Amino acid sequence: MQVPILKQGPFLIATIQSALTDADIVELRDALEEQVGKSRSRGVIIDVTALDVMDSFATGTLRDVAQMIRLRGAETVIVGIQPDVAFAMVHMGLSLEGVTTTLDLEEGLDYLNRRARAVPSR
Amino acid sequence: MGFVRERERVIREQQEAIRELSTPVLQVRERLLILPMIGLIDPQRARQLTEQLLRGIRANRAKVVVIDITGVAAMDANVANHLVLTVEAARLLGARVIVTGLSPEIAQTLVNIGVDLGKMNTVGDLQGGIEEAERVLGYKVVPVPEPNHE
Repeated sequence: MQVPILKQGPFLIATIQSALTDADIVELRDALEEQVGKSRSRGVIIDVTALDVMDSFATGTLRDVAQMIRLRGAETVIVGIQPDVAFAMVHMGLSLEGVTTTLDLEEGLDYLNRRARAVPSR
Repeated sequence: MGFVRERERVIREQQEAIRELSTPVLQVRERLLILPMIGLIDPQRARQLTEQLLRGIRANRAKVVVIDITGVAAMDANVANHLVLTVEAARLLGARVIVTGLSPEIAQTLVNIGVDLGKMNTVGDLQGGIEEAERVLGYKVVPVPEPNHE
């Protein structure tokens, strides 16, 4: 099941719309890797508002995605983690350390825009 | 027998209500929440506190939370650990947490337990915490000049 990835100016927005299988998550990772290169994006937003659950595989893969995107000179922001999901994640020791997280898409775009202004364009 | 059970139910509900009242999440500025913790924090209360805070962050779109523990009697390893988890959970919702009101005793407890204080932004007192929060949010509080009485 494909996660839609939209281009918004210099950024990509991937909106997860329902629970993902491990295979879906891997597909998303690969799709983002390809798109970031093709679009020369400066930032990627992964919107997880619709997710009720975030397990260790999802969390680990998101960290990998952020790392991979950083190596391409862009920044990743995870947005929309639900209160219950955040609560469960920290109690299970799942960390998104090193990855920027914001409340929602609006905040995520605001963050990326501020960062883009602070750093000169490639 | 039914009467005793009914009484127990009422007492439980009242305890629940008291717990919720005693951990209010208060908005003091746009995007700034304050959570004053008072009294004895047991694991259940700590858990409820975190849930209430996270819901509050989302509802108020808070970017900064000041958790004041001036009123907390004592802190054991469990509660200290819970505080660290709360800070991390708030971060996942995009909110930064400033912990204020650490007494020297509690600070020592945290160090002894091995809490990674690098993960916690702490300021001495509530006033300092609010000032720091305002700085982070880009507010500046300036005195209004006295109007001239001609």
